[in-house]
Amino acid sequence: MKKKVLLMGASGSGKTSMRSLIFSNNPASSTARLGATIDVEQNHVRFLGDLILNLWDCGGQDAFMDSYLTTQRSTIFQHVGVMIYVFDAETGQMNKDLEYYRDCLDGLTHYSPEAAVFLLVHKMDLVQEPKTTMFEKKREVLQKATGDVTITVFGTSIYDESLYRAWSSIVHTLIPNAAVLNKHLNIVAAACSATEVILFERTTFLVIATSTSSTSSPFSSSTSSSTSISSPTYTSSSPSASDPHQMHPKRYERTSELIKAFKWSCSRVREEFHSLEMDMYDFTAVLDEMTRNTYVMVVVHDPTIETAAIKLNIRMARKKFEELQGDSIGA
Amino acid sequence: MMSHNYQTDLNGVSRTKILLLGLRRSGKTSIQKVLFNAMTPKETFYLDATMRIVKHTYDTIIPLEIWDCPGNITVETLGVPLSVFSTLIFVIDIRDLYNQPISRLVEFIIAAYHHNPSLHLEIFVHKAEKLQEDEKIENYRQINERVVDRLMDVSPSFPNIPNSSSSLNTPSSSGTQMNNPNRLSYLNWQDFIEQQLLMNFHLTSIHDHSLHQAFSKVLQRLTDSLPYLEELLNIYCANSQASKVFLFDAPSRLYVASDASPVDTATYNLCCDNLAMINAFGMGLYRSACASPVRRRRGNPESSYPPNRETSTLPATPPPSASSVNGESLPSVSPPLSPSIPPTPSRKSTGTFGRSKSSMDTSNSSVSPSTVSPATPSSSTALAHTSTLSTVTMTKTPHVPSDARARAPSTSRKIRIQTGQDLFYPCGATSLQPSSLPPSYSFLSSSAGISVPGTTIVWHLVTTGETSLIEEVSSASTSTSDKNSRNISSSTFLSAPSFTTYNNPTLMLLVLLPTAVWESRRGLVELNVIAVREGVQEIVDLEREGRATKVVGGVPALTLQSSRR
Repeated sequence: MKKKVLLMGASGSGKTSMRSLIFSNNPASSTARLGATIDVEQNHVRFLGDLILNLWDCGGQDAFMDSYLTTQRSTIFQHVGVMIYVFDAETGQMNKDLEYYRDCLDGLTHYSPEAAVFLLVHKMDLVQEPKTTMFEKKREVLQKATGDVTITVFGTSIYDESLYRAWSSIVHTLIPNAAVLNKHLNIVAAACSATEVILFERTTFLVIATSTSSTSSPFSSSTSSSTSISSPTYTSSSPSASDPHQMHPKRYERTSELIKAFKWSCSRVREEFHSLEMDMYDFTAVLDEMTRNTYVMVVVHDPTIETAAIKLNIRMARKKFEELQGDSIGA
Repeated sequence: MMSHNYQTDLNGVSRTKILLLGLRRSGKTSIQKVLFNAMTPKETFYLDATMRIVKHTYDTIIPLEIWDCPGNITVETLGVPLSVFSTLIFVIDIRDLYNQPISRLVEFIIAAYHHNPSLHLEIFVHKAEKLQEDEKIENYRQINERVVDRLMDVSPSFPNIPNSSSSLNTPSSSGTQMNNPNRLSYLNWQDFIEQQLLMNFHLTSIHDHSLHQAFSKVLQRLTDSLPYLEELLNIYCANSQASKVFLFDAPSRLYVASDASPVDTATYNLCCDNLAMINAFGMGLYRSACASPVRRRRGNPESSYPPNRETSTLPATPPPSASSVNGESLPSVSPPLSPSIPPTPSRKSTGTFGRSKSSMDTSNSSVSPSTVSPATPSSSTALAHTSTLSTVTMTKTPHVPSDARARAPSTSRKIRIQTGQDLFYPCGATSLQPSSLPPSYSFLSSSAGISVPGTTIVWHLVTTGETSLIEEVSSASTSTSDKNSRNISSSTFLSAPSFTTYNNPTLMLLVLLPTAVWESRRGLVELNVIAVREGVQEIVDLEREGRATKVVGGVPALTLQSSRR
């Protein structure tokens, strides 16, 4: 199954850097070397085995933008599954950006009315404090410019975990059987007496599904910018009363970020990260492969549960998950 | 014996002092912040210039006091003699024109020659990330050469030499160092710079692990107990078929000791990154508000965990691990249940201070510990005097039976008791496999029964960094104070001395094992960690005790420690 993902925005807003970080597993520091994208760069990214993301990274320079909106209009905006429009948080040309955005939105609603729209207010790390208010203001402006179309807005930066949250949400809309996965993750959770079970995609480590209820879902838009590096700022969406654990709201994206960073460290010594287990004061967790394309993380709070037991359960669940994803392991 | 009042810090702890010098904007404060204040390299951009000398304390295997100085500090404006310091770290920006920093550096070396010839001199050629590989190495080499050249050229005449009765440049001097308070050296300058001066150059940057590796080496040179630690790790390595073992200070990610095999930078970097990840996960990402109290404590005595009444199992012939628990402190809040449970033997005095207790008090306990008291002082004595750690746990074994009878069995083998709290040490394993194999290889091979290739980094927390003012107050003291107060004494008498010392460090053992060994021999690998843990804790406790100040009637007395800086 192929899904077309449009990545658009002004020149230098960070589209190619994002792609490099999330899909090519390069560290944030290496994005400084990327040059301007010429016209459209198409990438086919295999996601979850049978899902192929056809990523259209559209160069943002004015000449290209004009061409997309005129001569290439139907080519660009047809058959789109998701459009991601990136805004530079520090831009001095907001009006021009908004104009191009409105134009693109018109093209999208005309050719692909079913497409989901995500807006990323990027480079939040460069914003002077206070970030929350600045983000809210931007979001209002964007909402107004959008009009009727449903949009989801995220504040992001390649230097912290916020980008993982945004992209996990984006990818989540493209996964066909998310609800089924959720149900089975709940079964695994029950078997392990786990508090939570999270399914990650293997290469990008984006969150695909979790076992918890949607109140603390990793896919809901943060209502405030989530980009401070040192100490986490809690989002203003308060966890519902039905979630007794009240774990850190940014744990999913932070986990993605941490594992990705470590994977990169491993690659530097020509090793590859395989699995881990942790027996901490606060919790016990096992992160192991589930299927060829996914990783699972089981978080347990019961202090009597051994990691070996969790690993055994994961091994037994593998077959089912392979079935669900319609792929099988090698041989 | 030093009797200056800056020998001990505010709490009366005798700290190892490190002087951090360099010209302005060379990176001194950034170094200190990144290593010890968990600042990210990007944030150091916003640091202000240091205007005054700032003393930072940090408790690791030894207690440190780092003096971060403004760029314009000279020997005269320093205000204290160099004899106060164990190490001088001089930071030079790799891009700098070298004359100025080198001149300043040489001034300090001359001062060291006069007042502290055994000062360790560490030169950080810093901000190495700013240059390309070739330039970097070239500049590093040049700085090294120029320092050495300048030292050769300089004549170490120095106007103000107090109480000097002999000429400094006695040609007939031998290499011996006189141990007098004013540290006058009788070496000539030439011999000093060629033979005695302990100078090391390091290429560092805060943006990678080179800074950590360099500072680790600096720390190791200051750790007297390093041979013992290394021996422990060597034994562990051999017994567990590990390829490499590190003992890390967790918050700073410096390695305190390693086994005898050479430290490969790539391996160190990997372990350092793994530790960074572990630290990040340990910061409460998955902390649950409704988890049991066991899960909510953070190894922190202040957390609201109720004291655990159980003690660990002590069979008649306990394995070494259990025997040392004997020396651990028991619940100080003496349980109303069994009057036979002896109170904290940890609060016994140690042999080093040559005290024996006739009656023992835990200051909370209503129990008379007469059955225990004869046993424990000698066990502590054995502890203090033994030089080979391998025998320590054995010497304690004879004392076990008397205590064993007094104790109730525990419910879980994994749980060790100390001061009314579960003694649980976080641990984990990160498995890697070689990149050359396809990702699903291990999948197939483990199900096919083929041994899994690759390495696993196994980590265990070895000492918990709980705050402890091991302060003995004879009235109801808090249970928090007993933490690792194995060797610290207390007494029933109000006027009896008590001890304050620095915090227990947070040390983590990182072991690199073949994954096959980990999967088939996990139990043994973990059992061996217990021996390391006890050895390390003992070494740490001895150190803490050694540097502590006796407080008599609320007034800190002179340090009991001899000429430790």
